[in-house]
Amino acid sequence: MQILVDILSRYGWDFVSGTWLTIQLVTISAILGVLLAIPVALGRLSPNPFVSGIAAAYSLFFRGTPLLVQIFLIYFGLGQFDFVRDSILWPILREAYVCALIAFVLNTAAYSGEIVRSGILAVPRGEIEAAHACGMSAVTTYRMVILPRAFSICLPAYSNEVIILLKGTSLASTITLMELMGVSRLAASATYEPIQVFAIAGVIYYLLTLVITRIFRLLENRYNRYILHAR
Amino acid sequence: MTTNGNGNAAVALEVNEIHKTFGTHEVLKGISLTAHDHDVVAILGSSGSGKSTFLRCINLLETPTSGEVRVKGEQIRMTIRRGEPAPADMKQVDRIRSKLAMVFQQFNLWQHMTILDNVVAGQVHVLGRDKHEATAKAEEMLKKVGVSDKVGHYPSQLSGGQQQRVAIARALAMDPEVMLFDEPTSALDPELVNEVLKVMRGLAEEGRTMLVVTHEMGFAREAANRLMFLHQGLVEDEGDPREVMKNPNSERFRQFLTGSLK
Repeated sequence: MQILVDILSRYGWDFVSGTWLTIQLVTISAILGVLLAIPVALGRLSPNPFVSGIAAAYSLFFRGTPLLVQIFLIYFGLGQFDFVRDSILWPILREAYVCALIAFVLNTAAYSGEIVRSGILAVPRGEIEAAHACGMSAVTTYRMVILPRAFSICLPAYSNEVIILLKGTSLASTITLMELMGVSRLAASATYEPIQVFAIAGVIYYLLTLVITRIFRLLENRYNRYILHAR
Repeated sequence: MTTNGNGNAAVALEVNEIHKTFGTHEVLKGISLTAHDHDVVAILGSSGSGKSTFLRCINLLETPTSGEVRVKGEQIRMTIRRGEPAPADMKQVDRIRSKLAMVFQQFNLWQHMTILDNVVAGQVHVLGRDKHEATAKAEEMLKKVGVSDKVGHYPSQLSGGQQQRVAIARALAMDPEVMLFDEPTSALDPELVNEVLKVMRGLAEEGRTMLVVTHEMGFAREAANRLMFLHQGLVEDEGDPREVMKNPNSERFRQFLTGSLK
C-alpha cells in the first residue's frame, strides 16, 4: 500500500497527463474515424466496381494487418519518401502525435466502415422506398432516412469499436508518445514496481471504458428513443 | 371497353401498355389505364396477378420493361442504360413522384422520426416548403385522419391502423395529383381495417384521384367509380364497379368474386 502511495505521489501528474493524452487520441480518432467511415461504407456499397474495389482494398488492408505495423509504417515509413520530406506538411507529419493519429483514424475507419455498412444494409427497404416514392432524391434519402437510421442501428456496435480503439492507443507509446501506457512504462522502469504501476494503468483504462460505455448509453437513449419506446 | 366515370374531367394519369419482366417471368403483359381527375380506380386481382407491380411501375419503384406513364400530360422519359430500361432523368422522376403519393401495405413510416416529422419531412425536403407552413399543414392532415393527439409519438408506439392513417396524412400533405394505395389494409388486424377505409372513403368523396390496389370488395363497390381486374398480368375485366361486380364480363372475374364472397 505504501508503495502505491509513493508511486502516485511521484508519478501522479504523469498519470494525469498520460490519461489526458490517451483521451485526446481516442476522442479525435473516434470522431475523425467515424466521419471517414461513412465514405468508406458508401464506397463499399457503390455499384461502381472501381470505387467499391478501392474501398474494399483499404478496408482489407487496415483490418488485415496489425495496428502496430500500421503505426510503424506511418511513423518510420513516411520519412523514407523524398516527396513527403520535401512537402510543406513534413513538419506536421514527422510528429509522433500526428503519425499515431493518422494510424488510429485509418484503422478505426476501416472497422467502423464495416459497422456503418451493415447499418445501412439493415435500414428497412420499405422506409427507403417511402422516401423515393414521395420524391426525395438519392442524396436527400441518404441524409434524411438512410444515414440517421443506420446511425442508430450502428450505435451499440460502434461503442465496442471505441473501446477497442482505447486499448489500441496504448501502442502509441512505442513511437515515443507519453500517453497512459507510455508514462506507465517509464514509471515501471524507474521504480522497479511494474505490478503496482500497471495495476494503476489498468484501473484507469477500466474507468475510461466505463465512461465510454456511459456516453454511448446516453447517445442510445437520445437517438434510439424510437426503438426503446417500442419495448 | 374503357369506361370513365368522369369523362369530362382532365386526364390526371395515363399509363400505356406497361410490360414488366422479372428474369424470364413476364408479370405485366401490357396494361393501360387512363384516370381522370376525381376518379377512384379499384384494382383487384388474386395474388401474383401483377396488381402491386403495376402500381409500383407507375411511380417507378419498379422500372417497367416497356410502356409509358404520363402524369398530368407529362411523360416520364425513359432510356436504355447498360442494356436495361432506366429513367432518363432522375430529377424528373423525383418531381413526378412528388405528385404521386403512395401508401404502402406495410405503412413504411420512418421509424426514427416522430409522427409530425414523418408528415413534415417530404414537404420541407421535396417541395421546399418552410418548416412553419409544413408543420401547420402536417397538423391539419393529421387532424383530418384522426391522429392529431399522436404528433410527438414515434411510429412504433402506434397501432397499425393509426400508422396507416399517418401514412395517408404523409401522402396528403404533399398535395398529390394522384394517390396510389398498395393494399393499404392488408397488413391490418380486422378490427383496424375500418378506421383506415373510413378515411379513404372520405378522400374519395372529396374528389381525390386514387388508384387503390385492394382486396376490400365493399370499398371497391361503394367508393370506387371504376374497377380493374387483373389476371396473369393482363386486364381481364374492367368497368363500373357495381355493374361489373353484378355481371362480370369474364369467367375468371366471376370465379374471383365467388371466391371472395365466401
